[in-house]
Amino acid sequence: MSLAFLQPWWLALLAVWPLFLLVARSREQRREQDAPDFLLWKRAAAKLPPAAVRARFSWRDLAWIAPLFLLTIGLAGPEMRRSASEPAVLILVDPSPSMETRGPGGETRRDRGIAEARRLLGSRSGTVEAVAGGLGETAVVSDGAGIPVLVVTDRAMPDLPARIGLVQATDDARNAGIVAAGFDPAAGLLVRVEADPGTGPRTLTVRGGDGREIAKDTLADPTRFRRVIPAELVEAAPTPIVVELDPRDALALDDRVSLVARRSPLRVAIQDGAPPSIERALRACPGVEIVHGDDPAAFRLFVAPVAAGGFETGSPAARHGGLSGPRPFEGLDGPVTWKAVFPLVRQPPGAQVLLSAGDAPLLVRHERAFVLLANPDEEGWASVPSFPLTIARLVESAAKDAGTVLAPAEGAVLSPAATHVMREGPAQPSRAPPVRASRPAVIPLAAWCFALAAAMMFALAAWSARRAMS
Amino acid sequence: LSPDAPFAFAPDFRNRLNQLAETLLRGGGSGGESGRQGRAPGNVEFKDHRPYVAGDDVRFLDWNVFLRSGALAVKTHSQDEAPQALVALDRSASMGPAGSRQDRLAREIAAAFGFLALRAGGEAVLRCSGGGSTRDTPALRGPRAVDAWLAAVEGAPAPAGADEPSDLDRLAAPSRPGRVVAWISDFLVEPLPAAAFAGLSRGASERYAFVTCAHEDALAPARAGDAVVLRDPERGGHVAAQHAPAWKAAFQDARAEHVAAVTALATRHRFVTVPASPESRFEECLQRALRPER
Repeated sequence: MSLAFLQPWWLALLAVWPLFLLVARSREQRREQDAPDFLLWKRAAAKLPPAAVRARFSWRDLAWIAPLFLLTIGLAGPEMRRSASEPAVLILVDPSPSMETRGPGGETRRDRGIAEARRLLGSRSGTVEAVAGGLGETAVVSDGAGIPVLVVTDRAMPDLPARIGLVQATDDARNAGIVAAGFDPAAGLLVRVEADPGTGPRTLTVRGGDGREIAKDTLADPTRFRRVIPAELVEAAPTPIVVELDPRDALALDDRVSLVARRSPLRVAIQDGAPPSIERALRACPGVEIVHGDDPAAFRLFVAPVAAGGFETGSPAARHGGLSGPRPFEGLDGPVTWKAVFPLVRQPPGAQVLLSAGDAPLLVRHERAFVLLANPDEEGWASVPSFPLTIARLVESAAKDAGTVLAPAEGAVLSPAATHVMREGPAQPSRAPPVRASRPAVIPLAAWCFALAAAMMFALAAWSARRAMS
Repeated sequence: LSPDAPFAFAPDFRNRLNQLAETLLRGGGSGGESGRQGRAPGNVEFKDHRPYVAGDDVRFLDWNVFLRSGALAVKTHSQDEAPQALVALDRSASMGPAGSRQDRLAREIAAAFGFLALRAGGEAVLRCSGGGSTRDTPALRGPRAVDAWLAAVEGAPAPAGADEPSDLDRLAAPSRPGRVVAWISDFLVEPLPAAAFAGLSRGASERYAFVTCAHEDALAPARAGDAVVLRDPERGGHVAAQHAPAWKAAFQDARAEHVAAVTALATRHRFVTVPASPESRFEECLQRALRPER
């Protein structure tokens, strides 16, 4: 905190007021006063030492000039300023997997970059934050907001503004990694390997869940390698299927991929113009792909009336009552009022009534087609919890017929961009963001000075009046 | 009151005078005894009754005689044939300034003294001295002249000038039976006016000296501890004093010594001396002067 004045020349008046007081008091001391009983005073003076003729000051004198002091200070425009402080530097760390590449000392690029950033900042405070989105964009936006930014990455960022600090944590590491591993029942298991130039030979091994080796390849030059393993070999092996690249290198994240069996996505085709509530309910179910229109490979969900497929519809009839079906549908309890239900007149062979209202079927399945014999939006069904639960149960019922796929387990790094960790060109020199002082906070004090001066004047006037009256 | 403004007694001054006269007639006073009832300047002894005539003060009617005989008779006193109160009022600047407590007290004593004489049927003369001159007002007589007397005291000149020896010499008056002299002054003159005391004493049968050192505190306007340059309004001298307890104590001592010296001198000349302090009221001064057991 510091005190500053907008018009400091007013402060010169501060020296005038004591002089003014001194002169006034001196004149007051020299002022003569008639004494009718002068003779008695003269006799008294003869018995006493000479009186000291000098100006004496008391707190009352200072009280009289204190308002003048305050007024003068107020005219000078005092301001209390909080000293400028630099905001904490935002250390943005590149979240890409290549930052986990370990250098010769065993430390990851991330750790080395953060340590270098701390060293650059010295005593300046900094907060480390991993960037979820684009690194450069986040840095520019933060810098524009007045926050000093220091980017820690292993990539070259030549377009980064100079006022944004940069630490490029690089090394001479070479990496080979699995960039793709996918299974297709028709084509088999596809494995792709890429590597930085000069990485050296690698061995690619595919094992089943029981440890049995399915395939093994020696890669003299793993820069670009592609291998397809027949599907029958893979399907015969228990999951998880493990694909490994040996020996391990600086970035171990992409040297091993495990494929686990997962349910394949359920593809559901809905009609164009279907009630929106149906699509909303389907999107709420995980693992569902929605297709608009007709897809022979997908499960189809129709809304009655259904002309095709052998259903016939009659005139709507209002029905009241509970719902029932071959399986309990949670959330369907309670009264439901159906303004219109389209009862089936005739069902094709193999049709299965999943849900009925009263004695009229409401949801019917025929092979890979589901038919909803009421419009949920018009009937009000979409506004009650039973509808999304019904759709969820429908998806669950259909998913039993969906196949499984082999998919990489969670956490697998399968990206050519992440695999190539070798630095391209010389490393950019590290730089710290320039010190950016925050704007100092200013508290004007002139009004307080004026108010205090007025209060003191009022108090002095009251005191004088009281003294005069007494 | 500014020096140029005419002096005027307080509105209740006349009532206070009447109350004082009644008190004295009842034998009151600071002594509280009534051995010489009805005593007043120039009017001190009951002598006889005489028939009432128009113009007599009804307060001197003897109601006991009226109740007994049905005739109106007034009381007469032994000295009411030619009583005269000569009131010498010091008008030098040391008695001022005009309208000050000192000036007011001196005028009130003078007015009261003459009032008592007139009320008793006597005569009153105001003799003002100071500033190089001595002036007498025309002699006034009887109760009907009270208003004129008060006006004469009010119209006395404001304190100004110095006490000159010639002024004091002119205070003396020829001897006259029944003359009562009242000298009202602070007697702040060096040396003390022994000759004037002697001259006044020779011409009077009763003598009173009112030492009115009732000056306001000259140091009061200054702040405590401040020095004050005091100026002599009579001769222009200066002295540096200080608003301090030591100076106030020395001043009180000087005043006490002065009053003692004046009292001693006046007593030698058969004056009854009444010192007046700043807190004194004129009633107290008159009662102390006229009390029976002085």
